[in-house]
Amino acid sequence: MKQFAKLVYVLGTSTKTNDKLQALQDYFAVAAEKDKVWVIAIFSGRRPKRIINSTILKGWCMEITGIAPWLFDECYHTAGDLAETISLLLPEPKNENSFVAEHTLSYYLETFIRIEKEDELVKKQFITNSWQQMDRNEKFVFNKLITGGFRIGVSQT
Amino acid sequence: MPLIEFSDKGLYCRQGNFYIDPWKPVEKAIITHAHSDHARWGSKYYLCHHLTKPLLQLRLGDNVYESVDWNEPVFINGVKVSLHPAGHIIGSAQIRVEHHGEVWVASGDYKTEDDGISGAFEPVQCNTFITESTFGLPIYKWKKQAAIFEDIKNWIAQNKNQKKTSVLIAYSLGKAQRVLMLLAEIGLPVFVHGAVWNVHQALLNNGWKLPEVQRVQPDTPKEQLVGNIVIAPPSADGTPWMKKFYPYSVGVCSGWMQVRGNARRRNTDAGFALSDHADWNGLLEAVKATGAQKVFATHGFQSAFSRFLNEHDIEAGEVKTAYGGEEEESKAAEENEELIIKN
Repeated sequence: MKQFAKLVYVLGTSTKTNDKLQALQDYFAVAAEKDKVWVIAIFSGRRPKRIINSTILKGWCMEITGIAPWLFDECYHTAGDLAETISLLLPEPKNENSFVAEHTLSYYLETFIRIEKEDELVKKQFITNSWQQMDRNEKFVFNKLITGGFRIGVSQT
Repeated sequence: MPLIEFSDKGLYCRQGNFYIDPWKPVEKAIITHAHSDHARWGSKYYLCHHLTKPLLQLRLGDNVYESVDWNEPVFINGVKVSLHPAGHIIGSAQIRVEHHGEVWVASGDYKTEDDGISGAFEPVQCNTFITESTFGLPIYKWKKQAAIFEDIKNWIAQNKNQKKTSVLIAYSLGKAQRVLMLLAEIGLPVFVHGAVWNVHQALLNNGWKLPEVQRVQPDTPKEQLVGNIVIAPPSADGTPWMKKFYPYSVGVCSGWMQVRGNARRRNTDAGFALSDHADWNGLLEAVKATGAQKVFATHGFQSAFSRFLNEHDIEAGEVKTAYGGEEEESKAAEENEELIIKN
């Protein structure tokens, strides 16, 4: 997931085509086979169904952080993106140096599909647990995958 | 009558008849630090910390300056004034003002993490605390300086691999020296823009020991720059001056880089959220440590920050000031320096 988060960061912030191409090349050189297939699917607009709506997601973030709705909205207004706002507000993993099992992109996407029809509580547990294990960049792409807001500048042609 | 009033010229102490960081010319100005939005032209007398004095001379030229040490009280019309480290940039101070047992502190700009060069922020007990709130939203939570520096080091190494020059954008006063201290351990040659050079020389002339830098000159050979490091102020970013470094990668060192949209709009290759201002938690810690019964939040997200404090049982108000324009101001400041140095 870290590699994918890095790729998305470059694709999302860089304005130079060469840098984006380099980032894609770097990613495809090291990513797991299954992840590569998923990345192609996501970038060509075929991603798993959204498993939860953004209002609920926002609610869980406020519950974890204890931030009041008006303050959340101020932050959202400033960051301009819900997935990013949530990733910035949530606490970072307790000990940044401690070993946390890193999951692949496929793991997250396949879990989305598996729990799609489950209760909200199951989804909440999966999502909030995942948040605890990820750094800021990973949380951002994870939230983006959930909210379905990926608009990455990769042409399909 | 409050001990400090918010006037159209700046923070004003009527009893002592002095201003703190006035944005218009006044008789007596007490200056928190030498950034151009806090230290302005035209006042008849300036009081600041010893470390700030040469920087004011660099930026404002010859004036009447008096300087003091940390916590060295000065009495002005019976008002006790002292300066305390703010940790923002070299010489940056909070101003403590006391009269008849009532204490106000004006923070100026500050940060709570000790960066190793700007002095360690000292919480000062007071009744009323006037605090900046540049990054007064909970999305602003800084990584530790050491962690950000790891990111910068990796970025520089990657650029070197690709035979690119690393151009780091940092304010010429404060951020540039902070970054330079960190870069010294990498051991690559560091080149600087004229504005950074001027501040560097002023500090060297006043006994600072700083890592060696070279000024970028029109005839600096390109081979010397490839794969190495350049520090330049925001005003140089995107100007023809940068062409010399091609191929290069630009990294902006600023708290605003915390948000992706800002990095994208700045058209930068890399953003490092390295700030000289307190983050959300830093602001809250600082406010609590003062024990103040009343807080005024200025320049930044003053409305959100004061509302949050009020909801958490700390009486707070918001005040509009003319501070916070560092970035826009920096070009003017650099031009002043050029003028002063030429004369």
